[in-house]
Amino acid sequence: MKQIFANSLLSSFRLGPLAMVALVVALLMLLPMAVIVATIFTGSFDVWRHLFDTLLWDYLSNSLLLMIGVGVGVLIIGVPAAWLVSVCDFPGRKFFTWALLLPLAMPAYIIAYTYTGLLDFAGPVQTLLRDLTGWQYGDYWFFNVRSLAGAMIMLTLVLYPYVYLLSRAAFLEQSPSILEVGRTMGYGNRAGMFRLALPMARPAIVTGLTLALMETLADFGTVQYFGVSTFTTGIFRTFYGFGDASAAAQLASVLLGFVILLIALERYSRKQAQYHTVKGRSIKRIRLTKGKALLAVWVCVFPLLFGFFIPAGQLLYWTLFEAVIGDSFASLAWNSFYLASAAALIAVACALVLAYAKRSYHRKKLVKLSVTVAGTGYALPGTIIAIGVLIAFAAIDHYLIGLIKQWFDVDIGLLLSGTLVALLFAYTVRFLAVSLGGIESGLQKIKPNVDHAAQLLGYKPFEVLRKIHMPLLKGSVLTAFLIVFVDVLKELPATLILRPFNFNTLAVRAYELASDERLIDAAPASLLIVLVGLVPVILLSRSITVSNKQVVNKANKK
Amino acid sequence: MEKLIANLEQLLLENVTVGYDGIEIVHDVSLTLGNGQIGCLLGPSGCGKSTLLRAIAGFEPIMRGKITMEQQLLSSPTFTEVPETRKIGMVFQDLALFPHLTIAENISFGLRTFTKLQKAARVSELLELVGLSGMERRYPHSLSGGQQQRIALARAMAPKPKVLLLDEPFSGLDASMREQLVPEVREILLQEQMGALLVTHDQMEAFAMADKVAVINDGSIVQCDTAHTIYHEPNNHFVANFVGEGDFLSGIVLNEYDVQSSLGVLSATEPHQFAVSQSVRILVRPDDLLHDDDSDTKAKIVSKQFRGSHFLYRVKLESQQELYCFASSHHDHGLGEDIGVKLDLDHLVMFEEREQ
Repeated sequence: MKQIFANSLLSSFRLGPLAMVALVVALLMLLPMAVIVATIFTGSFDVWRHLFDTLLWDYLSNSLLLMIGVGVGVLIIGVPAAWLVSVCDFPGRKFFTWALLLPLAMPAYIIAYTYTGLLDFAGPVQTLLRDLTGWQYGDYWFFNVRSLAGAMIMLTLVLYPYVYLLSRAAFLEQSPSILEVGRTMGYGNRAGMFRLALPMARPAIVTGLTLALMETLADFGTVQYFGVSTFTTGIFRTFYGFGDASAAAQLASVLLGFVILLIALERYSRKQAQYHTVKGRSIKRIRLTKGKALLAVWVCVFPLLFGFFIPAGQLLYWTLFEAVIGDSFASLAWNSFYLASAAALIAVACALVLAYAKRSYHRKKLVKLSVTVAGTGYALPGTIIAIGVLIAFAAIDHYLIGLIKQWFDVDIGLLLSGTLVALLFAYTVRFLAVSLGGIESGLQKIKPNVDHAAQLLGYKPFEVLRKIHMPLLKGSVLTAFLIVFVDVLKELPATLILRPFNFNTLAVRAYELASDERLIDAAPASLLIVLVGLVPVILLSRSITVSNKQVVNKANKK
Repeated sequence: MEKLIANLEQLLLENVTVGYDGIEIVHDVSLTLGNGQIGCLLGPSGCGKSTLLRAIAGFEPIMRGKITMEQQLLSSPTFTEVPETRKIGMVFQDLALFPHLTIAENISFGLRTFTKLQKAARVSELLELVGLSGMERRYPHSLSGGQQQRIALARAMAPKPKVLLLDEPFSGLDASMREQLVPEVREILLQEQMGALLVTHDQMEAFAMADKVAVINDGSIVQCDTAHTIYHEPNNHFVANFVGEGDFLSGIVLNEYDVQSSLGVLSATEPHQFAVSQSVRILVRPDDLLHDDDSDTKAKIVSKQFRGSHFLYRVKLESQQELYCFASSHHDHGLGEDIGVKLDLDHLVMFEEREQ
C-alpha cells in the first residue's frame, strides 16, 4: 500500500505524516462537540433540573417560534425574488440579481440595534409621527421592535439571501425546455411555475431554508438584545449567571440536537438536488410590463431597502454626524483585524492540509471521513463551540497545572483558557468548513492528470506544487482567507465568551455599547463591520453574474 | 505470451503484475515495443489497460515482474523509478493541459534546459507539425477539442521522450473529428520516429493507429498480433467476439482438415487440433459471407443496413442460423427476399463448442 502512495504527488513529503496531521486536525475540530455531548452523561443535574422546571420551555418555544417565523419570512422574500430575476425580465433586473445579496453583509445583531434606534420612542420615525399628528406619549400604539416578532423580522431581512441564492441557482439550472414542454401541454407561465419550476427547485429551496434556520438557531446578538429567551441566550445566562459551565453545556447539547436535525435535513435535500443541466440554450425571459413590472421591482426593492440600504444609511448617518468615536477605536479595529487575519491564516492552513490529504489519500476512507467531520463546525452555533472549548481547555489546563506542580513544584497558572489560543481555536472549528469548501473545489479543478503530465515532463512533486498548483490555487486560497476573515470579524457569541480579559473587538464593543443603550456610539464599529462584510458579498455576486463567455474573452485579451 | 516483433527493444515488460489494495488488476503481462513502433492495448473498459499504462509511466508500482527501457530498469517490485526521470511522454484522456499557461508555455513546459530561443524554435516546430502554427499566445480553453488534442500531443512530444503513451486520447472527440485525427497522429509519430503505445477500447482506432495490437481481457493479454491477424485469425473466443462483427456457425469435425457445416464442408489450409466428430463453432465475419446470385445456397434477408458503399444484410439460412453478409450497394434486395450466398473463408477459425 505504501508503495502506491509513494508514487503519487507529494510523495517527497513522506505522505504518512500528512495523513496523520489531517486526522489530528479532524479530531481537534470534533473536540468541542464531543465535550458538549459528554456533559449529558457526566456532571451534576441540579441547575439543569432548575432550568427544566422554569426556563427550558421558554427557550424551547421561543427558539421554535423564531425558526417558524424566520422560515416563513425567508421563503416569502427569497423564492419570489429568485424566480423574478432568473426567469423574468423587468427594469433593474441585472442590478437586483447581485444587489439582493447585499443584506448578507449585515450581521443580524447590527441590523437589530439599528432598527431599535430608528423605531424606538426617541427615534426619528416616532418623532416624525408625533410631529405630524401632535400625539403625546401614550396616545398611540407603536410596534415594539424589541420583541419576538421583531427578532423574526430582523433575522428574515438578513437571512433571506440564503434561500434567494440557492433557489436562483436551481431556477437557472432548470432547462428552459421544461417550461416550454409545459406550455405545449396547456400550462401557462404561472401554472408552469407552480406545477413544474417550484417542485423541481424544492430541494434547493429547502437547502437554503435549512442554512437560514441554522443561522437563526445560532443567533445570539439579536435575541439577547431584544430580550427574547432562546437557547443561545439561555446558555450564555446559565454560564455567566449560574457560573455553571456544565449546565450550560447540557443546555447546549439540547440545541445541538436541533442543529443535527437541521444538518440531516440539509444533507438530505442536497442529495435530492441533482440537476440535469442542459447547456447551450439560455432562458428566454418572460418580459414583464407596466403593473407587473412595477410589482416585480417592488418585490426586489423591499428586502433590499429594509435589509440593507435603510440600516446602512442610518449607520452612516450616525457615524458621520452623531457618534462619538472613542480613542480606543483604532485599537479595537487593530484587535479585530489581526485576530481575524490570524484565524483566517490558521483556517486556510488547516484546509490546505485536509484538502491535500484527501487528494493524496483518495483511496482511504478514514482520511475522507475525517475531512468531512472537520467541516461540520459551520453548523454549530458559536455559543456551543465556545462552551465546548472552554470546558475542554479548562480540563487540559488543570491537568497540566497539576502535572507541573507535581514535578517542578511551580504554579504556572492557566496556559490556554482565557487566551487568544482558545479564541483562535474556536474560530477555526466554526469556520474551517468555509475555507475547506473553497480550497477543495479549487483543488478539484486541478485534475490528477495535470500533476501527472507535469511529472512526466520532468518536474519533481514539489516543483509541480510550485509551478502548477500555486498559480492555479491562488484565487481559491485568497477567497477562502477573505471569507473566513470577514466571518471572524462579524462573530459575536464565541468572542464574547472566550476573549481574554479586557480584550475587545469591534463586534464585542458594538454589542456592549448597544447593551448600554448607546446605540449611536455603536454605529462606527458596526459600520466598519458591514463595510468589510461587503467584500465577500461582492466576490459572491461577481461569481454569479460573470458568465463563462466573459471569462473566455478576458483570457483571450491577455 | 507472444511478443511484438522488434529489432531494437525500446520498451520491455516482463511478466508484469499490477494492482492495489491487494487486488491484482493486471496479471503477468509481457510485451515488447520496438524502436519507432506503434503498439496498442485494446480491450473493454475496466480490463486493466489504463492501469498497465500508468505502471509504465511510473504512477503505479508493480507487484511482480519488471519494466525496462533500453536495458535500463524502470520498475520492479522493489524499485520504482519516479515518473519525472523516466523520459516517457504521455497524452492523457482528459488531456490535462495547464489552464493557466499559454499554448507556447504548455508545450515548452518540459523543455527545462532549453534557452528562451531554443524553446521558441521547438514550439513553433511542433505547432507546425500539428498544424496549429500561430497559436502560441492562446490559452487552452479558447481552442476546440481537436486543437486541444493536438496541443496535448505536441506538449508530450516536445522533450523527445523515448516512448509516448496515449491513454484513450481520442475518446473525447466526435466521430468525424476522430476519423480525421487518428491517421494524422500516426503520420506525426512516424515522422518524428517516435515509439508509442496507445490504449483504447475502440478497434477502429487501434487498427488505424497501430502496427501491433495487444488485446487485453481481465488484466491479461489474450492475443498480440497485427490488426489483420487479430481480426481474421483470433486465437480465442473473446477476441473473436470483441473485435469486429461476426457470427459462429456450428460444425462437426470430419478429419484433421475438414469440417461439416450448414454451408457445406469447409477445409482448413493447415491441420487443426480438434478431434474427429467433435462439435465446433466456426467464426464467420460479415466479409466472409458474400452475396452471389449464382450460388445454390439461399438465405432469407431478415434485416438490412445501408452503409453507403455496401449493404450489411442479416440473413437466415435454411438451418435457421443467422449470419451477416456484405454486399455491394448495387445489390439492393428487399426484406424477406431469398438471395444466394457463398462462404469465402480465408482462414478457418474454430473454437470448441461451449457456452456463448
